[in-house]
Amino acid sequence: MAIIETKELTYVYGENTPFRKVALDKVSIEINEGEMIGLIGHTGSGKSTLIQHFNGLMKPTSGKVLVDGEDFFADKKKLREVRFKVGLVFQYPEYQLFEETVAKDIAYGPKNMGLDEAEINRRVHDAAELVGLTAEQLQKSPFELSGGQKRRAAIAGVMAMEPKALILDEPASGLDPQGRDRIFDMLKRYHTEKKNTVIVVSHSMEDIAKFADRILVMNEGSVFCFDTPPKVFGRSRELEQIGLAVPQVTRVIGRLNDMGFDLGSDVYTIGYAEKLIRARLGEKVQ
Amino acid sequence: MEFFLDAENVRFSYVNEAEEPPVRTEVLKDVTLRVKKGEFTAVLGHNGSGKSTLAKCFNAINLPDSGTVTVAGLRTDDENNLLPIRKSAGMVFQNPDNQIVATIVEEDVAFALENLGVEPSEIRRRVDEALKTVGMYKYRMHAPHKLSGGQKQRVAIAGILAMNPDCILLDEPTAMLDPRGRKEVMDTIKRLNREQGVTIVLITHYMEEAAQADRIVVIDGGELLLDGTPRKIFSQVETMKNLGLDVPQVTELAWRLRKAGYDIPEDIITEEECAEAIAALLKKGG
Repeated sequence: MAIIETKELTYVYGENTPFRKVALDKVSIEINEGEMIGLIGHTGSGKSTLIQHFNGLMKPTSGKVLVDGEDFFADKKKLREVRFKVGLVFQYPEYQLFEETVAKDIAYGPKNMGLDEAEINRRVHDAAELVGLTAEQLQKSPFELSGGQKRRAAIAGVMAMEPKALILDEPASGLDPQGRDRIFDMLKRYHTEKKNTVIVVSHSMEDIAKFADRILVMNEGSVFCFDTPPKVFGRSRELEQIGLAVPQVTRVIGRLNDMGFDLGSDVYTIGYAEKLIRARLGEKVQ
Repeated sequence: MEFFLDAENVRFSYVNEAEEPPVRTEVLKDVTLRVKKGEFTAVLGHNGSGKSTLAKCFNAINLPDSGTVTVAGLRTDDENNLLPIRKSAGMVFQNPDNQIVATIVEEDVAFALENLGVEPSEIRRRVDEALKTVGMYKYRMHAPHKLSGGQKQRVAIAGILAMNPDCILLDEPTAMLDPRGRKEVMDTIKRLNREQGVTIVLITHYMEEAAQADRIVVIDGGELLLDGTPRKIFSQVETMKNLGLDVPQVTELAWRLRKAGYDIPEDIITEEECAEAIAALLKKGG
Protein backbone atom coordinates (compact mmCIF):
# COMPACT_ATOMS: atom_id res chain seq x y z
CA MET A 1 0.00 0.00 0.00
CA ALA A 2 1.17 3.51 -0.76
CA ILE A 3 2.14 5.62 2.25
CA ILE A 4 2.76 8.69 0.11
CA GLU A 5 1.15 9.31 -3.23
CA THR A 6 1.16 12.36 -5.46
CA LYS A 7 -1.22 12.93 -8.34
CA GLU A 8 -0.12 15.45 -10.95
CA LEU A 9 1.49 17.50 -8.20
CA THR A 10 2.45 20.91 -9.53
CA TYR A 11 4.06 23.75 -7.63
CA VAL A 12 4.78 27.19 -9.04
CA TYR A 13 6.98 29.75 -7.28
CA GLY A 14 6.14 33.42 -7.82
CA GLU A 15 2.88 32.91 -9.70
CA ASN A 16 1.76 36.15 -11.39
CA THR A 17 5.21 37.73 -11.03
CA PRO A 18 8.05 38.05 -13.57
CA PHE A 19 9.95 35.42 -11.51
CA ARG A 20 7.38 32.67 -12.10
CA LYS A 21 9.08 29.30 -11.98
CA VAL A 22 7.51 25.87 -12.20
CA ALA A 23 9.32 23.92 -9.48
CA LEU A 24 7.24 20.75 -9.82
CA ASP A 25 5.48 19.81 -13.00
CA LYS A 26 2.73 17.18 -12.78
CA VAL A 27 4.61 14.79 -10.54
CA SER A 28 2.75 11.51 -10.03
CA ILE A 29 4.49 8.94 -7.86
CA GLU A 30 3.68 6.28 -5.29
CA ILE A 31 5.93 5.42 -2.37
CA ASN A 32 5.00 2.20 -0.64
CA GLU A 33 4.97 1.36 3.02
CA GLY A 34 8.31 0.03 4.22
CA GLU A 35 10.28 1.08 1.17
CA MET A 36 13.78 2.55 1.32
CA ILE A 37 13.91 5.29 -1.28
CA GLY A 38 16.82 7.35 -2.57
CA LEU A 39 15.94 10.73 -4.04
CA ILE A 40 18.44 12.49 -6.29
CA GLY A 41 18.53 15.43 -8.63
CA HIS A 42 20.79 18.42 -9.17
CA THR A 43 20.30 21.75 -7.38
CA GLY A 44 17.01 23.24 -8.51
CA SER A 45 15.57 19.96 -9.77
CA GLY A 46 12.66 20.22 -7.35
CA LYS A 47 13.59 17.55 -4.83
CA SER A 48 13.42 19.81 -1.75
CA THR A 49 10.15 21.31 -2.94
CA LEU A 50 8.81 17.79 -3.41
CA ILE A 51 9.65 16.50 0.06
CA GLN A 52 8.16 19.58 1.69
CA HIS A 53 4.84 18.60 0.13
CA PHE A 54 5.02 15.18 1.74
CA ASN A 55 4.30 16.52 5.20
CA GLY A 56 2.28 19.55 4.27
CA LEU A 57 4.93 22.24 4.70
CA MET A 58 4.05 23.31 1.18
CA LYS A 59 0.70 23.23 -0.51
CA PRO A 60 0.38 22.16 -4.14
CA THR A 61 -0.49 24.82 -6.71
CA SER A 62 -2.48 22.06 -8.35
CA GLY A 63 -2.68 18.30 -8.05
CA LYS A 64 -2.86 16.19 -4.92
CA VAL A 65 -0.70 14.72 -2.17
CA LEU A 66 -2.10 11.72 -0.31
CA VAL A 67 -0.57 10.39 2.89
CA ASP A 68 -1.96 7.04 3.99
CA GLY A 69 -4.57 7.47 1.29
CA GLU A 70 -5.84 10.74 2.72
CA ASP A 71 -5.82 14.16 1.10
CA PHE A 72 -4.78 16.07 4.20
CA PHE A 73 -5.10 19.47 2.56
CA ALA A 74 -8.82 18.84 2.18
CA ASP A 75 -9.23 18.68 5.98
CA LYS A 76 -7.16 21.15 8.01
CA LYS A 77 -7.41 19.07 11.18
CA LYS A 78 -5.48 16.33 9.45
CA LEU A 79 -2.46 18.54 8.90
CA ARG A 80 -1.13 18.11 12.44
CA GLU A 81 -1.56 14.38 12.16
CA VAL A 82 0.42 14.31 8.94
CA ARG A 83 3.39 15.98 10.60
CA PHE A 84 3.56 13.04 12.99
CA LYS A 85 3.12 10.49 10.24
CA VAL A 86 5.78 11.95 7.99
CA GLY A 87 8.94 13.10 9.77
CA LEU A 88 11.22 15.49 7.95
CA VAL A 89 14.91 15.92 8.83
CA PHE A 90 16.33 19.00 7.18
CA GLN A 91 19.86 19.54 5.98
CA TYR A 92 22.27 20.32 8.83
CA PRO A 93 19.60 19.41 11.43
CA GLU A 94 22.13 19.93 14.23
CA TYR A 95 21.50 23.67 13.97
CA GLN A 96 17.99 23.01 15.24
CA LEU A 97 19.03 21.47 18.56
CA PHE A 98 17.90 23.79 21.34
CA GLU A 99 17.07 21.95 24.58
CA GLU A 100 19.13 21.79 27.78
CA THR A 101 19.96 18.14 27.38
CA VAL A 102 20.11 15.72 24.49
CA ALA A 103 17.38 13.60 26.10
CA LYS A 104 15.02 16.59 26.32
CA ASP A 105 15.76 17.52 22.76
CA ILE A 106 14.89 14.06 21.49
CA ALA A 107 11.76 14.06 23.69
CA TYR A 108 10.47 17.31 22.18
CA GLY A 109 8.61 15.67 19.29
CA PRO A 110 7.01 12.80 21.25
CA LYS A 111 5.97 15.28 23.97
CA ASN A 112 4.13 17.38 21.43
CA MET A 113 2.36 14.28 20.25
CA GLY A 114 0.79 14.15 23.72
CA LEU A 115 2.28 10.78 24.69
CA ASP A 116 2.60 9.78 28.32
CA GLU A 117 5.87 9.95 30.27
CA ALA A 118 6.66 6.24 30.05
CA GLU A 119 6.10 6.11 26.32
CA ILE A 120 8.18 9.26 25.76
CA ASN A 121 10.97 7.69 27.78
CA ARG A 122 10.85 4.47 25.83
CA ARG A 123 10.98 6.31 22.53
CA VAL A 124 13.86 8.58 23.58
CA HIS A 125 15.95 5.59 24.62
CA ASP A 126 14.95 3.59 21.58
CA ALA A 127 15.94 6.39 19.23
CA ALA A 128 19.18 7.12 21.12
CA GLU A 129 20.08 3.47 20.91
CA LEU A 130 19.38 3.40 17.16
CA VAL A 131 21.65 6.36 16.46
CA GLY A 132 24.34 5.17 18.87
CA LEU A 133 24.14 7.76 21.63
CA THR A 134 25.00 6.59 25.15
CA ALA A 135 23.02 7.18 28.35
CA GLU A 136 25.76 9.55 29.46
CA GLN A 137 25.54 11.57 26.26
CA LEU A 138 21.77 11.84 26.70
CA GLN A 139 22.33 13.88 29.86
CA LYS A 140 24.79 16.28 28.21
CA SER A 141 23.97 19.60 26.62
CA PRO A 142 23.62 19.09 22.85
CA PHE A 143 26.34 21.68 22.42
CA GLU A 144 28.91 19.50 24.17
CA LEU A 145 28.63 16.84 21.47
CA SER A 146 30.84 16.55 18.40
CA GLY A 147 29.46 17.52 14.99
CA GLY A 148 28.62 13.94 14.02
CA GLN A 149 27.00 13.23 17.40
CA LYS A 150 24.89 16.39 17.16
CA ARG A 151 23.72 15.31 13.71
CA ARG A 152 22.71 11.89 15.07
CA ALA A 153 20.95 13.46 18.08
CA ALA A 154 18.92 15.67 15.75
CA ILE A 155 17.93 12.68 13.61
CA ALA A 156 16.97 10.76 16.76
CA GLY A 157 14.56 13.58 17.62
CA VAL A 158 12.55 12.84 14.49
CA MET A 159 12.93 9.05 14.75
CA ALA A 160 11.45 9.23 18.26
CA MET A 161 8.17 10.38 16.74
CA GLU A 162 8.17 7.00 14.98
CA PRO A 163 6.82 8.46 11.77
CA LYS A 164 5.46 6.05 9.17
CA ALA A 165 7.76 7.76 6.71
CA LEU A 166 11.08 9.32 7.67
CA ILE A 167 12.52 11.77 5.16
CA LEU A 168 16.08 13.04 5.42
CA ASP A 169 17.57 15.81 3.29
CA GLU A 170 21.30 15.19 2.73
CA PRO A 171 21.81 13.51 6.11
CA ALA A 172 25.54 12.87 5.51
CA SER A 173 26.46 16.26 4.09
CA GLY A 174 29.74 17.64 5.47
CA LEU A 175 30.70 14.41 7.26
CA ASP A 176 33.88 12.43 6.68
CA PRO A 177 33.70 8.98 5.03
CA GLN A 178 33.37 7.16 8.35
CA GLY A 179 30.69 9.58 9.52
CA ARG A 180 28.80 9.07 6.25
CA ASP A 181 28.94 5.29 6.56
CA ARG A 182 27.77 5.56 10.15
CA ILE A 183 24.71 7.60 9.18
CA PHE A 184 23.75 5.20 6.40
CA ASP A 185 24.30 2.10 8.56
CA MET A 186 22.12 3.71 11.19
CA LEU A 187 19.35 4.42 8.68
CA LYS A 188 19.52 0.88 7.35
CA ARG A 189 19.19 -0.45 10.91
CA TYR A 190 16.28 1.85 11.62
CA HIS A 191 14.63 0.67 8.44
CA THR A 192 15.14 -3.02 9.20
CA GLU A 193 13.92 -2.72 12.78
CA LYS A 194 10.98 -0.38 12.35
CA LYS A 195 9.97 -1.45 8.86
CA ASN A 196 8.95 2.15 8.20
CA THR A 197 9.43 4.00 4.94
CA VAL A 198 12.71 5.92 4.68
CA ILE A 199 13.38 8.51 2.00
CA VAL A 200 16.91 9.86 1.70
CA VAL A 201 17.79 12.87 -0.44
CA SER A 202 21.43 12.79 -1.48
CA HIS A 203 23.79 14.07 -4.13
CA SER A 204 25.91 10.98 -3.80
CA MET A 205 24.94 8.13 -6.10
CA GLU A 206 27.58 6.01 -4.37
CA ASP A 207 25.76 6.38 -1.06
CA ILE A 208 22.29 5.86 -2.51
CA ALA A 209 23.43 2.81 -4.46
CA LYS A 210 24.29 1.12 -1.17
CA PHE A 211 20.84 1.06 0.35
CA ALA A 212 17.93 2.11 -1.84
CA ASP A 213 15.16 -0.28 -2.96
CA ARG A 214 14.15 2.29 -5.53
CA ILE A 215 15.67 5.55 -6.70
CA LEU A 216 13.62 8.60 -7.66
CA VAL A 217 15.52 10.86 -10.03
CA MET A 218 14.17 14.40 -10.42
CA ASN A 219 15.10 16.69 -13.29
CA GLU A 220 13.78 20.20 -13.98
CA GLY A 221 10.75 19.66 -11.76
CA SER A 222 9.71 16.38 -13.36
CA VAL A 223 10.27 12.73 -12.58
CA PHE A 224 13.18 11.59 -14.75
CA CYS A 225 12.83 8.01 -13.57
CA PHE A 226 11.70 6.06 -10.50
CA ASP A 227 13.03 2.53 -10.53
CA THR A 228 15.33 -0.05 -8.94
CA PRO A 229 19.06 0.80 -8.78
CA PRO A 230 20.10 -1.52 -11.65
CA LYS A 231 17.47 0.02 -13.94
CA VAL A 232 18.41 3.57 -12.93
CA PHE A 233 22.16 3.08 -13.24
CA GLY A 234 21.59 1.37 -16.56
CA ARG A 235 20.84 4.87 -17.82
CA SER A 236 24.09 6.32 -16.54
CA ARG A 237 24.89 8.28 -19.70
CA GLU A 238 21.56 10.11 -19.50
CA LEU A 239 22.06 10.71 -15.77
CA GLU A 240 25.38 12.42 -16.48
CA GLN A 241 23.71 14.55 -19.12
CA ILE A 242 21.26 15.90 -16.55
CA GLY A 243 24.12 16.89 -14.24
CA LEU A 244 24.27 13.88 -11.93
CA ALA A 245 27.44 12.01 -11.15
CA VAL A 246 27.18 8.25 -11.42
CA PRO A 247 29.54 6.13 -9.27
CA GLN A 248 33.13 5.95 -10.50
CA VAL A 249 32.88 2.15 -10.96
CA THR A 250 29.86 2.60 -13.21
CA ARG A 251 31.95 4.86 -15.44
CA VAL A 252 34.85 2.38 -15.47
CA ILE A 253 32.54 -0.45 -16.53
CA GLY A 254 31.11 1.94 -19.17
CA ARG A 255 34.63 2.47 -20.55
CA LEU A 256 35.19 -1.29 -20.63
CA ASN A 257 31.92 -1.74 -22.48
CA ASP A 258 33.10 0.86 -24.99
CA MET A 259 36.26 -1.18 -25.48
CA GLY A 260 34.13 -4.10 -26.47
CA PHE A 261 33.86 -6.03 -23.20
CA ASP A 262 30.21 -6.63 -22.70
CA LEU A 263 29.87 -6.23 -18.92
CA GLY A 264 26.33 -4.91 -18.81
CA SER A 265 25.08 -1.48 -17.85
CA ASP A 266 23.79 -2.13 -14.35
CA VAL A 267 27.03 -2.08 -12.33
CA TYR A 268 27.03 0.49 -9.54
CA THR A 269 28.83 -0.97 -6.52
CA ILE A 270 32.47 -1.97 -6.13
CA GLY A 271 31.47 -5.37 -4.77
CA TYR A 272 29.35 -6.21 -7.79
CA ALA A 273 31.99 -4.94 -10.22
CA GLU A 274 34.57 -7.14 -8.51
CA LYS A 275 32.33 -10.22 -8.70
CA LEU A 276 31.50 -9.58 -12.32
CA ILE A 277 35.12 -9.17 -13.42
CA ARG A 278 36.26 -12.21 -11.44
CA ALA A 279 33.48 -14.34 -12.89
CA ARG A 280 34.47 -13.18 -16.34
CA LEU A 281 38.10 -14.04 -15.70
CA GLY A 282 37.19 -17.39 -14.13
CA GLU A 283 35.03 -18.39 -17.09
CA LYS A 284 37.83 -17.77 -19.47
CA VAL A 285 40.54 -19.45 -17.43
CA GLN A 286 38.40 -22.39 -16.31
CA MET B 1 64.95 26.01 -0.95
CA GLU B 2 62.42 28.40 0.45
CA PHE B 3 58.90 27.11 1.04
CA PHE B 4 55.88 29.24 0.35
CA LEU B 5 53.90 27.91 3.28
CA ASP B 6 55.97 26.66 6.16
CA ALA B 7 54.61 25.33 9.45
CA GLU B 8 57.38 24.19 11.77
CA ASN B 9 56.58 22.12 14.87
CA VAL B 10 53.22 23.79 15.28
CA ARG B 11 51.19 23.17 18.41
CA PHE B 12 47.74 24.66 18.78
CA SER B 13 45.03 24.36 21.43
CA TYR B 14 41.53 25.69 21.73
CA VAL B 15 40.74 27.01 25.18
CA ASN B 16 37.22 26.87 26.59
CA GLU B 17 37.17 29.86 28.94
CA ALA B 18 33.60 29.13 30.02
CA GLU B 19 34.76 26.19 32.12
CA GLU B 20 36.35 26.72 35.53
CA PRO B 21 39.27 26.12 35.32
CA PRO B 22 39.50 26.74 31.53
CA VAL B 23 39.71 23.53 29.51
CA ARG B 24 42.45 23.26 26.89
CA THR B 25 42.02 20.93 23.93
CA GLU B 26 45.18 20.34 21.98
CA VAL B 27 44.28 20.12 18.32
CA LEU B 28 47.66 20.26 16.58
CA LYS B 29 50.52 18.32 18.10
CA ASP B 30 53.85 19.20 16.63
CA VAL B 31 52.88 19.52 12.97
CA THR B 32 55.52 20.34 10.37
CA LEU B 33 54.27 20.96 6.84
CA ARG B 34 56.10 22.75 4.06
CA VAL B 35 54.40 23.64 0.80
CA LYS B 36 56.27 24.80 -2.31
CA LYS B 37 55.10 27.67 -4.47
CA GLY B 38 52.74 26.46 -7.19
CA GLU B 39 52.04 23.14 -5.48
CA PHE B 40 48.53 21.68 -5.27
CA THR B 41 48.18 19.95 -1.93
CA ALA B 42 45.07 18.15 -0.70
CA VAL B 43 44.61 17.70 3.04
CA LEU B 44 42.63 14.68 4.24
CA GLY B 45 41.59 13.75 7.74
CA HIS B 46 38.36 12.84 9.47
CA ASN B 47 36.17 15.41 11.25
CA GLY B 48 38.05 16.80 14.23
CA SER B 49 41.49 15.74 12.99
CA GLY B 50 42.81 19.31 13.01
CA LYS B 51 42.99 19.96 9.29
CA SER B 52 40.88 23.15 9.32
CA THR B 53 42.81 24.39 12.34
CA LEU B 54 46.03 23.94 10.39
CA ALA B 55 44.67 25.74 7.34
CA LYS B 56 43.67 28.66 9.55
CA CYS B 57 47.27 28.81 10.82
CA PHE B 58 48.36 29.48 7.24
CA ASN B 59 46.55 32.77 6.96
CA ALA B 60 47.06 33.90 10.52
CA ILE B 61 43.51 33.34 11.74
CA ASN B 62 45.08 30.93 14.25
CA LEU B 63 48.45 31.63 15.88
CA PRO B 64 50.36 28.59 17.11
CA ASP B 65 51.00 28.06 20.87
CA SER B 66 54.51 27.03 19.93
CA GLY B 67 56.38 26.52 16.69
CA THR B 68 56.29 28.97 13.79
CA VAL B 69 54.28 29.50 10.64
CA THR B 70 55.58 31.57 7.75
CA VAL B 71 53.76 32.56 4.57
CA ALA B 72 55.97 33.79 1.73
CA GLY B 73 58.72 34.16 4.31
CA LEU B 74 56.57 36.32 6.63
CA ARG B 75 55.95 35.10 10.16
CA THR B 76 52.29 34.97 11.15
CA ASP B 77 52.99 36.02 14.74
CA ASP B 78 54.18 39.47 13.68
CA GLU B 79 51.14 41.73 13.56
CA ASN B 80 52.73 43.91 10.88
CA ASN B 81 52.64 40.92 8.55
CA LEU B 82 48.90 40.30 8.88
CA LEU B 83 47.78 42.34 5.89
CA PRO B 84 50.42 41.07 3.44
CA ILE B 85 49.76 37.47 4.60
CA ARG B 86 45.99 37.72 4.15
CA LYS B 87 46.50 39.28 0.72
CA SER B 88 48.91 36.56 -0.24
CA ALA B 89 47.00 33.55 1.13
CA GLY B 90 43.22 33.87 0.81
CA MET B 91 40.75 31.45 2.30
CA VAL B 92 37.51 29.99 0.94
CA PHE B 93 35.16 28.33 3.42
CA GLN B 94 32.60 25.54 3.22
CA ASN B 95 29.37 27.50 3.29
CA PRO B 96 29.08 29.97 0.42
CA ASP B 97 26.28 31.84 2.18
CA ASN B 98 28.56 32.79 5.08
CA GLN B 99 31.16 34.55 2.98
CA ILE B 100 29.17 36.67 0.58
CA VAL B 101 28.55 40.19 1.89
CA ALA B 102 27.26 42.33 -0.97
CA THR B 103 23.96 42.32 -2.84
CA ILE B 104 25.51 42.40 -6.32
CA VAL B 105 28.11 39.88 -7.47
CA GLU B 106 30.67 42.40 -8.69
CA GLU B 107 30.37 44.46 -5.50
CA ASP B 108 31.09 41.35 -3.49
CA VAL B 109 34.22 40.63 -5.50
CA ALA B 110 35.32 44.28 -5.05
CA PHE B 111 34.77 44.24 -1.28
CA ALA B 112 38.33 43.49 -0.19
CA LEU B 113 39.88 45.77 -2.80
CA GLU B 114 37.74 48.67 -1.61
CA ASN B 115 38.88 48.03 1.94
CA LEU B 116 42.46 48.01 0.80
CA GLY B 117 42.00 51.41 -0.83
CA VAL B 118 42.77 50.29 -4.37
CA GLU B 119 42.17 52.86 -7.15
CA PRO B 120 38.63 52.58 -8.61
CA SER B 121 39.87 52.00 -12.17
CA GLU B 122 42.19 49.27 -10.92
CA ILE B 123 39.31 47.72 -8.92
CA ARG B 124 37.20 47.65 -12.08
CA ARG B 125 39.98 45.93 -14.00
CA ARG B 126 40.76 43.34 -11.33
CA VAL B 127 37.11 42.52 -10.56
CA ASP B 128 36.36 41.96 -14.24
CA GLU B 129 39.45 39.81 -14.66
CA ALA B 130 38.72 37.72 -11.55
CA LEU B 131 35.11 37.15 -12.63
CA LYS B 132 36.22 36.13 -16.10
CA THR B 133 38.76 33.72 -14.64
CA VAL B 134 36.10 31.86 -12.63
CA GLY B 135 33.57 32.05 -15.47
CA MET B 136 31.12 34.31 -13.62
CA TYR B 137 31.58 37.54 -15.62
CA LYS B 138 28.18 37.33 -17.19
CA TYR B 139 26.61 37.14 -13.73
CA ARG B 140 28.43 40.26 -12.49
CA MET B 141 25.21 42.28 -12.05
CA HIS B 142 23.24 39.41 -10.49
CA ALA B 143 22.19 39.05 -6.86
CA PRO B 144 24.40 36.43 -5.15
CA HIS B 145 21.53 34.75 -3.29
CA LYS B 146 19.94 33.73 -6.57
CA LEU B 147 23.03 31.84 -7.73
CA SER B 148 23.61 28.10 -7.33
CA GLY B 149 26.03 26.87 -4.67
CA GLY B 150 28.78 26.23 -7.20
CA GLN B 151 28.35 29.70 -8.66
CA LYS B 152 28.46 31.28 -5.18
CA GLN B 153 31.70 29.45 -4.38
CA ARG B 154 33.20 30.69 -7.64
CA VAL B 155 32.22 34.24 -6.67
CA ALA B 156 33.94 33.70 -3.31
CA ILE B 157 37.04 32.47 -5.15
CA ALA B 158 36.89 35.53 -7.44
CA GLY B 159 36.83 37.80 -4.37
CA ILE B 160 40.11 36.28 -3.32
CA LEU B 161 41.58 36.24 -6.83
CA ALA B 162 40.98 39.98 -7.12
CA MET B 163 43.65 40.46 -4.47
CA ASN B 164 46.17 38.69 -6.72
CA PRO B 165 47.03 36.05 -4.12
CA ASP B 166 49.89 33.59 -4.45
CA CYS B 167 47.93 30.97 -2.59
CA ILE B 168 44.32 29.95 -1.97
CA LEU B 169 43.36 27.84 1.03
CA LEU B 170 40.03 26.05 0.56
CA ASP B 171 38.26 24.41 3.48
CA GLU B 172 35.83 21.84 2.06
CA PRO B 173 34.64 24.24 -0.63
CA THR B 174 32.49 21.59 -2.32
CA ALA B 175 30.87 19.97 0.73
CA MET B 176 27.52 21.69 0.20
CA LEU B 177 27.45 21.48 -3.59
CA ASP B 178 25.87 19.05 -6.02
CA PRO B 179 28.05 17.11 -8.49
CA ARG B 180 27.78 19.81 -11.13
CA GLY B 181 28.77 22.56 -8.67
CA ARG B 182 31.61 20.40 -7.37
CA LYS B 183 33.01 19.97 -10.85
CA GLU B 184 32.77 23.72 -11.56
CA VAL B 185 34.74 24.52 -8.42
CA MET B 186 37.33 21.76 -8.97
CA ASP B 187 37.88 22.82 -12.60
CA THR B 188 38.38 26.42 -11.46
CA ILE B 189 40.89 25.41 -8.78
CA LYS B 190 42.87 23.22 -11.18
CA ARG B 191 42.96 25.91 -13.84
CA LEU B 192 44.23 28.55 -11.39
CA ASN B 193 46.92 26.16 -10.28
CA ARG B 194 48.06 25.10 -13.74
CA GLU B 195 47.68 28.33 -15.69
CA GLN B 196 48.48 30.94 -13.07
CA GLY B 197 50.71 28.96 -10.74
CA VAL B 198 48.50 29.67 -7.70
CA THR B 199 49.49 27.53 -4.73
CA ILE B 200 46.47 25.49 -3.64
CA VAL B 201 45.73 23.87 -0.31
CA LEU B 202 42.45 21.97 -0.55
CA ILE B 203 40.80 20.39 2.45
CA THR B 204 38.27 17.82 1.32
CA HIS B 205 36.37 14.67 2.24
CA TYR B 206 36.08 13.63 -1.39
CA MET B 207 38.83 11.19 -2.31
CA GLU B 208 38.24 11.70 -6.03
CA GLU B 209 39.03 15.39 -5.57
CA ALA B 210 42.17 14.67 -3.58
CA ALA B 211 43.31 12.29 -6.34
CA GLN B 212 43.60 15.32 -8.64
CA ALA B 213 46.20 17.07 -6.44
CA ASP B 214 50.01 16.90 -6.76
CA ARG B 215 50.34 15.87 -3.17
CA ILE B 216 48.18 14.57 -0.33
CA VAL B 217 48.82 15.01 3.37
CA VAL B 218 46.79 13.05 5.89
CA ILE B 219 46.20 14.49 9.32
CA ASP B 220 44.98 12.36 12.18
CA GLY B 221 44.63 13.27 15.84
CA GLY B 222 46.45 16.54 15.28
CA GLU B 223 49.49 14.90 13.73
CA LEU B 224 50.69 14.71 10.16
CA LEU B 225 50.52 11.00 9.45
CA LEU B 226 51.04 10.48 5.73
CA ASP B 227 52.52 12.70 3.05
CA GLY B 228 53.05 11.78 -0.59
CA THR B 229 51.65 11.72 -4.10
CA PRO B 230 48.02 10.59 -4.51
CA ARG B 231 49.34 7.31 -5.96
CA LYS B 232 51.51 6.68 -2.95
CA ILE B 233 48.82 7.59 -0.43
CA PHE B 234 45.88 5.79 -2.04
CA SER B 235 47.87 2.61 -2.65
CA GLN B 236 47.73 2.21 1.16
CA VAL B 237 44.09 1.14 1.06
CA GLU B 238 43.99 -0.59 4.45
CA THR B 239 45.78 2.25 6.24
CA MET B 240 43.37 4.79 4.79
CA LYS B 241 40.32 2.74 5.77
CA ASN B 242 41.65 2.23 9.28
CA LEU B 243 41.99 6.00 9.58
CA GLY B 244 38.28 6.35 8.80
CA LEU B 245 39.13 7.71 5.38
CA ASP B 246 38.60 6.14 2.02
CA VAL B 247 40.23 5.71 -1.38
CA PRO B 248 38.74 6.40 -4.83
CA GLN B 249 36.43 3.59 -6.01
CA VAL B 250 38.80 2.74 -8.86
CA THR B 251 41.67 2.27 -6.40
CA GLU B 252 39.53 0.03 -4.22
CA LEU B 253 38.37 -2.07 -7.15
CA ALA B 254 41.97 -2.63 -8.29
CA TRP B 255 43.01 -3.39 -4.71
CA ARG B 256 40.26 -5.99 -4.33
CA LEU B 257 41.29 -7.67 -7.58
CA ARG B 258 44.91 -7.67 -6.43
CA LYS B 259 43.87 -9.27 -3.15
CA ALA B 260 42.02 -11.94 -5.13
CA GLY B 261 45.36 -12.80 -6.75
CA TYR B 262 45.17 -10.87 -10.00
CA ASP B 263 48.14 -8.98 -11.38
CA ILE B 264 46.95 -5.39 -11.41
CA PRO B 265 48.90 -2.24 -10.41
CA GLU B 266 48.28 -1.04 -6.85
CA ASP B 267 48.62 2.66 -7.62
CA ILE B 268 45.60 3.15 -9.86
CA ILE B 269 43.84 6.47 -9.24
CA THR B 270 42.07 7.35 -12.48
CA GLU B 271 39.14 5.74 -14.29
CA GLU B 272 41.20 5.45 -17.45
CA GLU B 273 44.02 3.53 -15.75
CA CYS B 274 41.52 1.28 -14.02
CA ALA B 275 39.67 0.45 -17.23
CA GLU B 276 42.96 -0.16 -19.08
CA ALA B 277 44.28 -2.45 -16.35
CA ILE B 278 41.08 -4.48 -16.19
CA ALA B 279 40.96 -4.66 -19.99
CA ALA B 280 44.51 -6.05 -19.95
CA LEU B 281 43.45 -8.68 -17.39
CA LEU B 282 40.38 -9.66 -19.40
CA LYS B 283 42.41 -9.96 -22.61
CA LYS B 284 45.06 -12.05 -20.92
CA GLY B 285 42.40 -14.21 -19.30
CA GLY B 286 40.86 -15.05 -22.67
